[in-house]
Amino acid sequence: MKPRFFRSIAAQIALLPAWLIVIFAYLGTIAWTIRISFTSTKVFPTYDFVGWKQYERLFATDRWIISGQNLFIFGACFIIGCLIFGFLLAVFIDQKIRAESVFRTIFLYPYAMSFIVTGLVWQWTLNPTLGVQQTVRNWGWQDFTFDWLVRGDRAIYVIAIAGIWQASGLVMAILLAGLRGVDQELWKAAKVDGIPTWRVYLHIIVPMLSPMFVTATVLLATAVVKVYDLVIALTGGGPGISTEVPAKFVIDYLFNRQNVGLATAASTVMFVTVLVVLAPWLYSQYFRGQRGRGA
Amino acid sequence: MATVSIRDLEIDFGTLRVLQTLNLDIAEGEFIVLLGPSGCGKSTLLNAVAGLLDVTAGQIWIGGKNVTWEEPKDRGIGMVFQSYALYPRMTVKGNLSFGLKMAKTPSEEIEKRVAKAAKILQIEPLLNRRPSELSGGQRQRVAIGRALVRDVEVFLFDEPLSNLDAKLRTELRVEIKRLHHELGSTMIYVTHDQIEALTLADRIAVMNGGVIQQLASPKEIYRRPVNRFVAGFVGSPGMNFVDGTLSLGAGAPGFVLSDGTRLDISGYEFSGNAKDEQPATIGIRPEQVDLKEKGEDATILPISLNLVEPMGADSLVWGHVSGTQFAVRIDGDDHVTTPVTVDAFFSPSQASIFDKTSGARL
Amino acid sequence: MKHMTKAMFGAAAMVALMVGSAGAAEKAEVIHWWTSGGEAAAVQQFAAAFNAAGGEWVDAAVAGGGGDAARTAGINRIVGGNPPTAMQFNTGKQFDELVTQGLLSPLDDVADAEGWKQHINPLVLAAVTRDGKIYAAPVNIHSNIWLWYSPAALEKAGAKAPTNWDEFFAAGDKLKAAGIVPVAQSGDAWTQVLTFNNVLIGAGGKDLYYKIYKDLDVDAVKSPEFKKVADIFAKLRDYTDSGMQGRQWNQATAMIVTGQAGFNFMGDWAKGEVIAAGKTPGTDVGCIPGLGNQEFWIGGDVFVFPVNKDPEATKAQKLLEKVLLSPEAQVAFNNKKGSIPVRDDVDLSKVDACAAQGIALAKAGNVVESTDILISPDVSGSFTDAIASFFSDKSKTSDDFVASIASIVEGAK
Repeated sequence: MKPRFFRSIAAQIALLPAWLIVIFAYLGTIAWTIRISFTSTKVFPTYDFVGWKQYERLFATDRWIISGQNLFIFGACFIIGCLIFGFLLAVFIDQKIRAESVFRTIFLYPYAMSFIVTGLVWQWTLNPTLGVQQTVRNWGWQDFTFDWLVRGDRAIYVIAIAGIWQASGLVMAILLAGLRGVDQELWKAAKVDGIPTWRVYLHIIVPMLSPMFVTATVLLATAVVKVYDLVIALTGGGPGISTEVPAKFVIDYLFNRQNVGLATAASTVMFVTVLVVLAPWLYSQYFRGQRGRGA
Repeated sequence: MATVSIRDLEIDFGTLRVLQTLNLDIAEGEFIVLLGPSGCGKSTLLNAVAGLLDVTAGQIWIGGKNVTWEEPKDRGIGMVFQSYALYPRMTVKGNLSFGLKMAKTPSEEIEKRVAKAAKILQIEPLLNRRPSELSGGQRQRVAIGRALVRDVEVFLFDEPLSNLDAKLRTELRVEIKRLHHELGSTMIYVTHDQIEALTLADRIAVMNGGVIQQLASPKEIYRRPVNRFVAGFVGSPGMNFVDGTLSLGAGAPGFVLSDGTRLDISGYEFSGNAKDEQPATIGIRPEQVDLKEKGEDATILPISLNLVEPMGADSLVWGHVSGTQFAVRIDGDDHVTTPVTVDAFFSPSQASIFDKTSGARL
Repeated sequence: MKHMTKAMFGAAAMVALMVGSAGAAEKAEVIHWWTSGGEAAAVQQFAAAFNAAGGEWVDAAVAGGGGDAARTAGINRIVGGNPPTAMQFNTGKQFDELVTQGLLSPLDDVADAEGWKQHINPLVLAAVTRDGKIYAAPVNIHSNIWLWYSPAALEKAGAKAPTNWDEFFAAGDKLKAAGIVPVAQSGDAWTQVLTFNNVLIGAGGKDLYYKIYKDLDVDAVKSPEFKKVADIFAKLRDYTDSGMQGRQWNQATAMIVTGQAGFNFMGDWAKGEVIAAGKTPGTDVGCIPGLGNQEFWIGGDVFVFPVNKDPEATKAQKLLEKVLLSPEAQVAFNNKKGSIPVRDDVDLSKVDACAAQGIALAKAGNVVESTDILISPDVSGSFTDAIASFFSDKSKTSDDFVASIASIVEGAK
């Protein structure tokens, strides 16, 4: 048996590449991005210092404010919608229905599509002169109107709906795995206790699946922060700038509008926001972990 | 308190018949154990009584009421499961009271019943804990408590002790027996463990292949098994079986072993359909053989012994009778030097003789 | 260790690249965003001319966003050290920073040999010249300020081609009444910017245009003249249809080609679509170079040639530069594209009626430089956001619009 010290050295050496990657690839790029956000960089890095100028401009920009609001609306609708629909789909499949695998495939299928394809499909479907609205009008209901896609105050919800359509299957798959893990005797016990099925789901099964819900929420939340291609394909940020999102703001200013300083300021704000949102959760996880070990 | 009556019950799973025209009457306050190997249909029968399975044919009556198509909650039953099936994210108190809340029981009443059940089961200090913070024994008490608070007349136990270690199993077995005395409720208990069956039951229903083989008191089951299956399933170590032929011609009735040895079996009560020269199997329990003294009406059994297994209070001596493996239980203090061939003794009136082909008692 | 491996891989990849490109001489990978029917036909003329001159044209078309996507992809590759042989920009400031960083090769040797300085329109030449050196090959002159109309649709509605904005809206009302979409508009932001510039020059005039885009004069934005422009632009919103969102520019143009719509504000590349549909610009589809105030807007497309370490690639670049501005390729390309050649020593007799109008305006000195020449992409982006956001939200008033443009002009100073 080697002394503990040497074993730990060996382990540290083995971990060195991982540490290097963390320090340079992750922390390094974050630090660089933050540094650049305090410069007047256009396309190529200039290492001057302009203070909070980029940030002041950022928050004076309508489009950025709208992007932030949209991220919030989209995020809330998308996450809640996916969790609810995904759970309902999982429950539906858990009823030991016939042709279960067919339904499972159908529900999961949208997730295999790229956001671009999802976006185009929904764009065609909801385009007032091509899709649902026109179809229904052709059937004879001339007054039928469903033009959310072209309404600035509604288009962001269309994006959320398309997102929900796409990602619910993933939530279903995660939750279905959880539902399948539920002891059958638990169902019998609840039946003997005379608890209605929906209450069993709500009061017993849902709390049991909370780790799965957390996993799904984290996955969905990362999709929310990253949302870009869905917007590009569905509305391109329009009508006007009503469905702009922060990721698109960053990409546009990073490349096409050639203002890297502003783009990095925007990404820094996104990064800090994510940290602020995550901090209480991380803290509670850590705190709970400590208490758990103590018990 | 209520009677349970199962009438001509049949249950099919698809094309597979799991229970075949089964009849069982359980008296008020009786403790019935359904005993049998896995797949014998005992759990299916219990689930049918609970209303968790649809029956194919027949009826189930509880407390004089036909409940065949009633919901489980309306049958006046409480059920305890092998895996405890506690609601994992609720406290013990939540587990006990949830069903009552759903039934819109007044909250004072709930408090009263929970307190009472907790007292009976001695789980009062645990009321605010989660199932994950309890030991297996404590969990099963809570599961029993969940049945208890429902104030039911029939308790159903589905292998409730199988997930526990040996020591806890013994403890809780006693607990259940005490509970039965205290409450006087009708209880149906499914197990594959014959010790539980023998210690707990007023009557045991030994099941195999979807059919009740024998329904009788533990003593009757042990002493006078109706067929070879029951004889072999109950008792540990199992009954010794030696094949041979009946000799009921002239003189005292005899049982001729394959090596020609003739055992005198006068004193065995035949049920009437035994014939001379009939191939048969004689069953003798290990403790029914005496190596030392020839008791009254005992008969001689030549046996060659070759191995001793001391088990504390007693010892098992293994050997052969007419080439068939045979075990004898002796007192732990007695000493046998092996290998040795001796004449042992047994009382034919205690033995069982079965038809060799059908296995039915002769 | 890790770094060494990486370095070795890098070296190996580099060797492989060099060997690879040495094998295929004169191969030119060209990034551009000419993907619609008419545009693709035009770019084929260049490809054919280049291939005929002994090169091998590798097409790298990137669709979307009025060139946004293609420029993003190209700049990424240049910055990342894997430049294409040539890439497209709009005439103007879009490639300024690439020049300052020394990432683009000057083209003066080819320019001198081919007589660019004598024959290319001076405004265009100025737009590609930085510090006395030419950094891009202008391939066409595009004019964004065109109002296209469908004579058939107007006739059906009982209206006639307008000569001022009042007539325009009167015709629009008639079209509406006849169940025809008055203005075919795309939902893409850049097309709405184009519509705005049409209104700004047509209704506001050349001076106002320069005050805003060149002088960044806030007072001009707050002037009654600009308010009038804003009002007209606001009113235009009521003459578009609900299918605007999600419609591409070429689909919008197609609507007037087929007579489904009356008017379409679009650059002269719309002619490419008209020709591709087998119609004649000027007769089947009418053209007005600035309603109310006729000006020839000088914009267009250029190709830049990123600095390259590989001599073979540099050779391909030189050949391509020469081919792009050869008189034959110029005529062939521009006839398909709908734009006019940058050279004046080519045969202009074959240009269509609309282009002839443009050339006449240019000769008379009625020209304006494109916004791409006047403002940086950053400022241009802010204008785009404000214009698109206003145009697609009818709850915003023209005063809101004036305020938002004023703040952009203020901030851009």
